[in-house]
Amino acid sequence: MSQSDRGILLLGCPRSGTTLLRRLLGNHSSIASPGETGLFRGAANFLKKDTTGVGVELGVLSGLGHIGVNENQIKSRLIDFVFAFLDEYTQKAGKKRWLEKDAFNAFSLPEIEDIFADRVRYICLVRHGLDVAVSLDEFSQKSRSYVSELHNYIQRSANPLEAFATAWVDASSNLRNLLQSQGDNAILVKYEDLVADPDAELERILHFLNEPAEDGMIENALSDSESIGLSDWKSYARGSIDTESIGRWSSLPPYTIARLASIANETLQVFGYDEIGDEWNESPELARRRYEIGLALNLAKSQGKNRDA
Amino acid sequence: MITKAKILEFIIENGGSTDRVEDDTPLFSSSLLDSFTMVSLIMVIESEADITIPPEDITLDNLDSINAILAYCEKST
Repeated sequence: MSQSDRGILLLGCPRSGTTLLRRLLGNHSSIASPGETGLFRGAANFLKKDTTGVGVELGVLSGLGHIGVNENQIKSRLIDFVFAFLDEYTQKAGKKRWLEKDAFNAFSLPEIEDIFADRVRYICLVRHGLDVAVSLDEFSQKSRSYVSELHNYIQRSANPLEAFATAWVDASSNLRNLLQSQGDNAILVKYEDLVADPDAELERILHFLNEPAEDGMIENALSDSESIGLSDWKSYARGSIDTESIGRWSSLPPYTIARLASIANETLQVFGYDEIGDEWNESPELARRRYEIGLALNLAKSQGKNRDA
Repeated sequence: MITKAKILEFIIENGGSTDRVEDDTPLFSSSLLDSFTMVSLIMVIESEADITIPPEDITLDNLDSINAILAYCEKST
């Protein structure tokens, strides 16, 4: 099997279902899939650089350049370094090829593609941006922290949901660029299609990977606890695939939806999602009235509960 | 003027189902409508009935079912 057929990179904005798909594909008899290793993100960080005020570049490329190591040599060694760990894991698992997913790779895609180009096959998973924002908000509250890639956005916006919607736009734009540049070497999968008809989507993805579909992949994957690594906690709490997580954003306050729509609409439409109304015509007086009614309503509900108790 | 048809139309427009909604079915205390939707319903009631509901009248007795809403509006206009 050629090097480019051995490696599969599963990409998507965090909270897009990448762990679910990793677990499904990792149950195939040919595909070994560890939990998140951070290898590709780590390799991407090697190419990141700063430029001083007098135009001097600071970073690995520049630093090694001073001792006669050129960019191609560095990339080649990074590829060997990353692939060695994954090849070893694959061999131990008794399989033929590996699949790596790290939900934060989507933010470093230009550097990852620059290094690995067509040496791996790419699966790009996209989920509705407002559902991603809601889920990221929930995840950040439960984990009581922001991963550095998301913290960059939180620092720029006082509203976490708006920060996460912006993060989704950036990650999705990176995915779109990769899909365009990689052509047949990349496939787009929508989370909503995956959970609505997992059998059909799995078959389509496996066809892209030139692998035959296998019986019981979904059932086995959902009951498998062997491949737990640094990964998404929520996927392991579910014993079935369903569409319950689709459209959760619609219960957000109308004002919030309008704000998020103005951020995400263009990218939503690029990926075939419906445009969301982004007009918010409510006057400050009406917004205040809405707030007053909400308070009175909550008081009425708690008084009703006390009365019933 | 607020009517039963208007309330049912609002529930459907806001993603709810009216299959099991009778005239006395609790709308908010049963969580049939969440708080955001219930606030919007009260704003529609105010607009349609041309009234401003004082905070002390925002109670389950006055607003938690179609019958209660219609009775309150009739009393207030």
